[in-house]
Amino acid sequence: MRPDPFRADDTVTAPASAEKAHAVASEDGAAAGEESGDDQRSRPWGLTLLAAAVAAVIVVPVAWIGVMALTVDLERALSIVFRPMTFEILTNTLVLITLVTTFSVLIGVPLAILTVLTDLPFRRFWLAALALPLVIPSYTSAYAFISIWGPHGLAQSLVEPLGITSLPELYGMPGTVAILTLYNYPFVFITTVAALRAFDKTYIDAARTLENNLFGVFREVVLPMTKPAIAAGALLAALETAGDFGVPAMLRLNVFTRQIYVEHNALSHDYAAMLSLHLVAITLVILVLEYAVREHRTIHGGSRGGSRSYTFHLGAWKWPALAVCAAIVGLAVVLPVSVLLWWLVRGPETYVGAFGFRLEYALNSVSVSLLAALAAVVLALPVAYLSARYRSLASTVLERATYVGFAVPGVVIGLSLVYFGSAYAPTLYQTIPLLVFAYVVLYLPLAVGAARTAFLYVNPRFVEAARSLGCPPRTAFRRVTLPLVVPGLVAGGALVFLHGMKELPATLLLRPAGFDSLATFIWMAERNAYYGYAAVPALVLVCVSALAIVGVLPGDGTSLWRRVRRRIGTKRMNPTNQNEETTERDDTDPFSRSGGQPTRTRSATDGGNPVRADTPNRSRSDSEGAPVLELECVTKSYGARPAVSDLSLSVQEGELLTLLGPSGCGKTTTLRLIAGLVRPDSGTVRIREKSVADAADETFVPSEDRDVGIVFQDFALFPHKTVAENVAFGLGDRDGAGEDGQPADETVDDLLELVGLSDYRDRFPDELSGGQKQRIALARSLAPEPDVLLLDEPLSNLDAGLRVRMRETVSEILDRVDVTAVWVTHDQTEALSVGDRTAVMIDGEIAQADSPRALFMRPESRAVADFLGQASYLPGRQNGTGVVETPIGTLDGDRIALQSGAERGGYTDREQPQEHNDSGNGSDNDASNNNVANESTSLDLDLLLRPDDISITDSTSDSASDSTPDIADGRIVHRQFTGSTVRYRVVLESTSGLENTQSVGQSDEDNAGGAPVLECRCSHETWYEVGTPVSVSITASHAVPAFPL
Amino acid sequence: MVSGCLGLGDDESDVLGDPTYREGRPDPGGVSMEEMPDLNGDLTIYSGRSQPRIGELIEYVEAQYDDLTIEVRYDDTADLISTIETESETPADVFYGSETQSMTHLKDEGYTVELPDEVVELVDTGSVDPDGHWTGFTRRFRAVAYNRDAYDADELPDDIFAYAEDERFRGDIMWPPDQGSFQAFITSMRLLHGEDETRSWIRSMIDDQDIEASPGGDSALAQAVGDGEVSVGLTNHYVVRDHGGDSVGLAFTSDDAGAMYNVTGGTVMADSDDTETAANFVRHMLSAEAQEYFATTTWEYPVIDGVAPLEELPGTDEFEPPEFDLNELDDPDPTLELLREENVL
Repeated sequence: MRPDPFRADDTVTAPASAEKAHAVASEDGAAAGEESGDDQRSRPWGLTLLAAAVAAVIVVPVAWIGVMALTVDLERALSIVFRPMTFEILTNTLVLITLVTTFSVLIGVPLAILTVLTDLPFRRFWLAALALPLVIPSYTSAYAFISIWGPHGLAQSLVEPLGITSLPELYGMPGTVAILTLYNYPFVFITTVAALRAFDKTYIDAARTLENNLFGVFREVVLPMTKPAIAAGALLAALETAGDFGVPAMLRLNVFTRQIYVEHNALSHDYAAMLSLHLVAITLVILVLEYAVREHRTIHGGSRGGSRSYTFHLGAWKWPALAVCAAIVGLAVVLPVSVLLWWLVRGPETYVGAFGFRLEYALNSVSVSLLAALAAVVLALPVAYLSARYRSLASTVLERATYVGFAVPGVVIGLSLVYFGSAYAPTLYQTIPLLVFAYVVLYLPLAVGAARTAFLYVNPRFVEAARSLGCPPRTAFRRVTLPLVVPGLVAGGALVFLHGMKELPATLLLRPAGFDSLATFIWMAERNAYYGYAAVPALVLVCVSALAIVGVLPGDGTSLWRRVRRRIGTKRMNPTNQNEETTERDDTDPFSRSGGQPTRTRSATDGGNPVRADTPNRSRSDSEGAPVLELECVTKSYGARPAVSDLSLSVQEGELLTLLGPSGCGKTTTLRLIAGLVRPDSGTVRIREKSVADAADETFVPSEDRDVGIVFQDFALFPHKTVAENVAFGLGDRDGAGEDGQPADETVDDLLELVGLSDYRDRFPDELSGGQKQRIALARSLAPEPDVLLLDEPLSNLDAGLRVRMRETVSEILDRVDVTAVWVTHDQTEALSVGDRTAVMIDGEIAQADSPRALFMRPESRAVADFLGQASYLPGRQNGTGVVETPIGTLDGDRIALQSGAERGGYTDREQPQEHNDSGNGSDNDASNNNVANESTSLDLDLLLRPDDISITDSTSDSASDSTPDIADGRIVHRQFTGSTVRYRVVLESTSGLENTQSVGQSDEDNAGGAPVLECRCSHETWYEVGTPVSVSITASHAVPAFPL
Repeated sequence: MVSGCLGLGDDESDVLGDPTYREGRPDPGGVSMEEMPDLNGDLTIYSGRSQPRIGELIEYVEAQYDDLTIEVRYDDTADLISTIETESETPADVFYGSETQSMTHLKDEGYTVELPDEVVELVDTGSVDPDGHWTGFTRRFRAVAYNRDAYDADELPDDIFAYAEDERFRGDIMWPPDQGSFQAFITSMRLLHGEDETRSWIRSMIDDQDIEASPGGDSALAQAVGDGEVSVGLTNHYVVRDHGGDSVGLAFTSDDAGAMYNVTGGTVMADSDDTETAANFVRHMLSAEAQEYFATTTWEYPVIDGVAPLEELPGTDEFEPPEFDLNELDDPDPTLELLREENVL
């Protein structure tokens, strides 16, 4: 995966499943505002000042225009502004901008879809070719069009024999719109291409199953997902159109730029400045419009790796598609280049003495443009980073401010710099540095836009991962963020470079005397209509710029880089492995190879044992020391909504605690609190008895200074680093890895062996399968030997079968290294099977923390019961003797375990009901007996029945060999055959006075008017038809949990 | 005063200007550069004329003196004027204008100094600032470019106002309204014939003659005439050197604005560190060599006695230019206003 440059604003690469999407929205979404935790607390003043300085650099020259405009004679100014022609100019300008922008979108977006999502032949060629119009200077192309389409041009002479005497008029609005569209659609094209490449293609799969035609898919999924990217491209196209002088001038369309030049040529640059203010105003309106369209969802790309490419098959549509692409490239690129070649062939026509092209001009153009590109990228960094990472009015205004001068003609900005240069920096005036600076002022928005989207694309998880591996924020920026945004910066720089190569007016004003660039030379030649002389430099300009197009295009530039990296770092690699593009199957089990059998006992073997005698899921040394991790009364709110409230939790040495809860319950926030990515509002977090966060005394140890490792849901492997580099990432900066005699290299080898991926050390993350990524993420977190390892939904990005295998693999690895770990999951099977202890979290609070079996068999509350597995409730009434009457018969008092006694005053704080009271069938139920003794009257209860706690028999069957005739307790309303078992849903006959308050609510139509409903799991041999009257009995050998009503 | 070969053409590689047209011409009269004071030091020239026109000449002058360095800033006249007005102190020693308006503008704003008498007195009186702040180097006439296939020279009127009335030109005539030289021509028409007559001429051109605007200034206009897109165009005489080909002929009107001329020329900047050298550079542009260069290479009319215009052009005795002070072209505002009011701009 590569962060695509124009990956436009705010495109979401959200998780594929709705459930996960919800999780992101509710939990991460809230956290996203928090992003880098403690940094967020205070505005980054340094960065803001830096960005403000950059914005000022742009705004000051533009503001000078305003000052100049104030010097005009008011009467004349008013007469210019209010003459009827101004209205026409304004209308022309607005219509031109609107039409060009609209057509650019209408052309750019379908072309992007064609080149990214279809099997268009020669896709890569078209991708580059369709971006090429960017390299053609508009002043050259307009000449070309006029000479071909003009009244006596080539086109006319071709159609004349056919009896067509006049072609449609090129001059005026239609021609201007057509030509500007041809040269501005690439902005939309490249931003859309980047967005399409980046977004998760599983959405298309999902949509195709729901929509029956392809256009529906595009309308409902592709377009909304790429809308911000399209808006970003349209913004550039609109501003370029607003500021373009050459084409409207040559095609005789009266727009503001043309009027500005008329005033300028009449030596009244103050009026030119005044008219420029119109353009500034139009720019502001466009900026606001784009800001409104740009969506402000939580953003950034995924961090789990690239998504595969997707292909629609064009079939016969291939030919029209090819024809359209060819027509556009032909018109926009081939035609003007042909005209240049024609000029070249025809040669210089007149004697012009000392005038001639020199290679030096090309070098001048390239070097100044390169310098400008570099400077623009450097200056764009603070603005883009601030705007992408810290959303606020200030950051938005600073970012938008860099655009204000974009549509102002270069001559006006140039004059402004003449003023500042000659007055305040005379030594720099008419030197290369000031010229470079002018380019920066003119084209900074191009770099800011590209850099901003690149920053947005860097998932904050990468930074968090780096910080959890010991990097302070600055180091994390340098080692992770910066490398990841490089392609975006290169794209921004390349765009600045392209524009710099073509720039003319400011170059003329600010260049050193005797300095000629390609553009000034072409201008000089074309000004005198010496087209023969313009041919060579124009062709050189086009060719050099075409090389830079590679940088603008999002895409495959990384493959070359990787090949180089591999060659350097390949010493350990098995060369055959390197070349075959096999994606290792996910079921590679590290332990089947490495031989060492894990020592582990499974929980499933303890059948009917009492809960008290529960064996832990994993064998580990039970150290009864101080807890490694302790949370005490921790509260964290996002806005008014508490994500975690008054949470206390402790984890012992070597223990694996699973934190289980429904989506949005606050478990991820809890994890982030432990990791130091989020500050608690109140409460204390202690690691090894040292307070790392205490709201009371403002203690806060940032993530990088806590010995905590994190495995993220989406792995967050650094995409620019190899597997080995990822694993070694945390070793360099923490505690001097090499000091204890173990070089980082060996640690990496050991860990890769531990996770069974030694052969993959030089692969890049996007070349790994999901399971492999997961194991690498684990190895990376384990490398610095953290005190506590945090796993955030580590398996949820894997498909179902793999999830089960990885569950075992991961828990075995954790077992081997004997690390203390907190594992967050919403998957109960996962939580119950891997945890030594499981904490169920509901609505920001720990509902219950206990051994997995105890949780399941002795839930303290209905919420816990409902969350863990299938729960049916059977209403009952306990009389004074302890016997419970139910619709299906009576139950002795010792067969139930009364829960949630606290509601009725049964429990007190000193009693830990689950730890001490529960017992199973062997020992008596003190709690319930006590309760019964205290209550003289009867007690209404709901008995919690799991599907395999009960059995059913056909009450009409004769085979019932019982002495007592079966009474039908209820009727089967639903049957589901799952293979080894059959699930039945039984509606009981209503018994007066025994109403159950809660029932299994899958489908209400099966719920016969409030009558109790039981779910029952039977062996596959038991087979009853729906409607069969059945008798129900409780077969559970353990005490049935009962909740008082 | 008449010099010999002046070092021109002795050696083929040393030829200044377009050899095609230099051949066969009599040796130029006037003062040779050799007789002028030497030029030393660094000179900065802001030139509204472009490098293809004067680059060779400037380099030639620079090559004559070992201690002379000339830096030329080639740009649009408007850019240069705006630059000078914006700069806190201009580095320019000489402003080289392609018309008088810019020079008059600089003079009026106090950016220039008076030229020495020995420079000014070289020039024909009609081509120099009466106050002596600027001098013309060459003269450029307004002319009517016509397509030789459509007309012969003697079929065309010698009265500019006839072009607005003659039905032959209806829908078949072009002008370049956004060009400074055209606007200067309108200014001169206002000065010579009055505001009302000018306005009605413009109206007739638009309403009756359905005049076309040039797509790309004078060169495109000449091309359009050459291609037969239109038969007649109002332009500058020198345009036909490069554009339109052999099918374009030139006609002049007589004693009206249609035959007005403007001059290219130079003025010395007050901010110059060495106004004397600057003035001597201006003087060099009036030398026999320079004037001969202009006549043969840019096809312009010389401003000194002794150098004749190119044979391909009508001699100055064949038509009668109007008389007026070129400084009066300076204020373009009423002209622009007029053009805007008539929706020409």
